[in-house]
Amino acid sequence: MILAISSSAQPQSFPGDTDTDEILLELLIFKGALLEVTSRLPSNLTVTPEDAERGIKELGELLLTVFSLTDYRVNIQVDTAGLLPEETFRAWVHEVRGPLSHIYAPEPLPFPIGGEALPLFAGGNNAGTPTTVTVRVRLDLRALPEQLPRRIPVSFHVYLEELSGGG
Amino acid sequence: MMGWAGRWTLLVAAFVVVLTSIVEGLAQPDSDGEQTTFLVELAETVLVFVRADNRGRVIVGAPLLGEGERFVHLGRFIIQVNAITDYELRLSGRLEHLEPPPAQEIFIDPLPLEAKLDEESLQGSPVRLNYEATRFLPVRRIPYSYRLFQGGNNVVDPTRCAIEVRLDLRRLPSGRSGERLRFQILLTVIEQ
Repeated sequence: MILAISSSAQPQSFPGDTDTDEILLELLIFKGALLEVTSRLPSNLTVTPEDAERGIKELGELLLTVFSLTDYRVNIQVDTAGLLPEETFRAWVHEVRGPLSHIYAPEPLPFPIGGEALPLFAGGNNAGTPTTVTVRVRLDLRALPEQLPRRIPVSFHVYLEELSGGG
Repeated sequence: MMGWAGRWTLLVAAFVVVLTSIVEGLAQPDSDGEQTTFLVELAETVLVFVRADNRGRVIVGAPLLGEGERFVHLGRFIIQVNAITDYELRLSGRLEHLEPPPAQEIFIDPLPLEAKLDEESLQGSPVRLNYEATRFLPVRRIPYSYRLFQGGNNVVDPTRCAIEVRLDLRRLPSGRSGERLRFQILLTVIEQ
């Protein structure tokens, strides 16, 4: 988007008579971007001895679809009710279909400490070509603390953040 | 000394001269005249106007888009041209960002707007269509424009035609929710 700085367009001049009428159309963007999560993680996961041997537990995939007219960024947060450190979870962008401008997490990255959001990807206007992204989530068993409760409720929150226009 | 005979001869000769001049005068038709001069000045030779409603307000948002919907129909407008000379009708546009402030023109060309002439809707005096304009073409930002049609004196039967306008969402500059934009579609008729 290129914004005016100082000049204004000059109308053409013609030797003969001219006349002009106009049509005025106003456009209001009431919600510029929409994120849909079309797949869920399993509601229950059990860490098996095989997982422990590998050191990781794959939690599954989230299928995200973005419809947007504006610049946006998609983030993910994890909530473990304080029972696990956030950085034991990792997420990354696995597959992309459609336009994107940047992938922040091309490989498994730990969630930031303190419940901060992990940016996944960013994009802009994708009208006509929705962007579908597969995000994978895993648990890094090697980063787990020694003492753990038997059941740990974990929830992931994926959200779209609209960025300032003008770019 | 002139005698009576001489006087009579002179009198008769004078009478004949007077009579001849009167008869000659009667033979000429009478005439009279005054001159009146008009100056015809063609101040307005061409006129264009959008009949009926020429304003619209469209609300767009990502949830409405769905998969593959790139264009939003913005309306159909009837244009009328009245001309007493040869003319051509051209189309161009402007785009302004209104809200949030500050309001300012957005300088992109072509605009994220497309227009086409509906050939079927042509009424009135015949015109020479620009057939390219019967398919959706991106609207150029002024001072650029493209021709819709050309015609001549159509006083007896003014020419009317519909244009359809749609928004190309894919080319809409990235903004934010709550942003308000204004498109101005300019129809200019030019004497040739």
